[in-house]
Amino acid sequence: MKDTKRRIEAFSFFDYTGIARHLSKMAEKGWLIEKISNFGWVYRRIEPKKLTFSVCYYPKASEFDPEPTEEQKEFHEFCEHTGWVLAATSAQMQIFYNERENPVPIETDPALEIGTLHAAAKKSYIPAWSVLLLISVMNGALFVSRLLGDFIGLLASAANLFTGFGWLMLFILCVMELCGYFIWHKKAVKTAERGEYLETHSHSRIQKIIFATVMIGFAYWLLNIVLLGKPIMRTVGLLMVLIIAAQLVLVNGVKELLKRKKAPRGVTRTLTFLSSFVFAFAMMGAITFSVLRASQSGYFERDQETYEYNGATFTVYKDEIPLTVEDLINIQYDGYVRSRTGDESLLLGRFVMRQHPRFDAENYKDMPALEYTITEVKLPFLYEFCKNSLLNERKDEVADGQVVFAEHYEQADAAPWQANEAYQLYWSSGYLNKYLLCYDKRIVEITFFWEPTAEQMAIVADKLSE
Amino acid sequence: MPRLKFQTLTEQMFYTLLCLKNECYGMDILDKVPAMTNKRVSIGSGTLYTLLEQFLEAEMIRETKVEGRRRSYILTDKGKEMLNNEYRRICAQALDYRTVFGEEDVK
Repeated sequence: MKDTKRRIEAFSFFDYTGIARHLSKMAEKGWLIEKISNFGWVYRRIEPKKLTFSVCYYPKASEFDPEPTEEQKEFHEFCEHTGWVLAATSAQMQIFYNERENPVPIETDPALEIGTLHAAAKKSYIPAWSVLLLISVMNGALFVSRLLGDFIGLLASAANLFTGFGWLMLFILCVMELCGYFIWHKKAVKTAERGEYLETHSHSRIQKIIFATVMIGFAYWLLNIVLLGKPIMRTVGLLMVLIIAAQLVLVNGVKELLKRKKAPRGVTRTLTFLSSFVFAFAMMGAITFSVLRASQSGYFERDQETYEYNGATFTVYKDEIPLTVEDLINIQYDGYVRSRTGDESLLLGRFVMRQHPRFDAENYKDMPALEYTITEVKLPFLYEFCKNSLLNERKDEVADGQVVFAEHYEQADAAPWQANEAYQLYWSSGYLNKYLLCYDKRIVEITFFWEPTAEQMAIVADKLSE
Repeated sequence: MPRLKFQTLTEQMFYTLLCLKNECYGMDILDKVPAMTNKRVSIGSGTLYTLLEQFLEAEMIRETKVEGRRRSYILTDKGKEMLNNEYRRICAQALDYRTVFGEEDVK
């Protein structure tokens, strides 16, 4: 039977009543808090008993202290004098328990207690969450703007979806923590003026939900790179996860080592921050170096060749694409550039195919070219969102209620395309040979550089509908 | 309206200062106050620790001796004056009570 156990707890720093209540329940179940670390709260097995817990704050303490200062030890002795035994500390937070019945509380003046808590919060809790808020608000806003502006692109990239979602969740958490604290503090100051205490509260349940959704997001990303990722992306992705985990352990290790060696607070703080920067840059450097080396040794090379034209170098790709100009038109020319790019996730795939002649081809401008984007929707409920997102990308420019520039899709005959729905782009003052075709699980946006015939439309249906 | 710092004293502040008329270890105040008030008033250890820090900062008490981590304090003239102000305020309150209810109503 294990004598210690580690738990991830979701409590706000200032929730001293919630934490004390939770620790009392744990003691009744036979677990006494022993240590609070970055990797969870550690409990020691005890005989189940009723213990009274008190969480208070010592503003002068720092998590970089090698051990409690003499002044802090004096504070602990004061508490010990009234039966309060120190159980664990975490930076400014000091956790005591008392075995006596109805012990005199450590804090007996609500106004002083709130003042002490606020001084402690200003030292690390508020600055840390504020920095996180600043970073997450920028990245969270970027995610929301991409969600609104490039819905399909975002869903097609599991990495972008997961990281963006993670930032948004962190932003919500920061707002919840900071607003929760300031609202509580304002009310608690007023309550203390009447000599009364105000209960604190964490958003534990919401924090746990956020943590669980981020973990689901992470699992989704992992599943994507394992099932659909290219070998290089799979390797880089898994390496990054390992390196980030190693970085957390290493930085924490540096801090704990310096504390064990009794290094002064300032030295530990500086070296811990420095080590996190060094590890982060080393990680980025190692990944960049590996990608460059892999690139130099031809790992990323596609079937391609280069040619010179007008003093510039151009690349000819020979990617496999499902529909070619040759499928539609009888043409004999070997110099076509065929490229296929895009992203794919478990939700949907978006692939952009292009075929155009080389610039050094004779009659380059008169030769037919083709461009199309396939959006492959894997979850039916996303279909309408994707279709509307693509239709809404083209919008008339309207000023004072008048269309000043027309650019929109208009419904067209779907039968020749064997599609469920078809749209043609109306641009400026006429139709372009650009179509949006809705098949059962695919939406194809195709641009011809000529007017397609009914026979060519049938070929498109045959090649691209599934 | 928030109370101005130390303009009036809470019971806990009052008894802490009272204990420091004579030099006394900070920690001993934890026992002296309940003894002095027949357990009517108790001061929490954290509250006392903070009060001593604030009284020192406001020069209402001064440190007299440091033995290891045990420190003793004594009331300064400023502290005594504030304690005296509080005493007079309490007396005035008691007098007002008697004026309203009369001497016979005091139990």
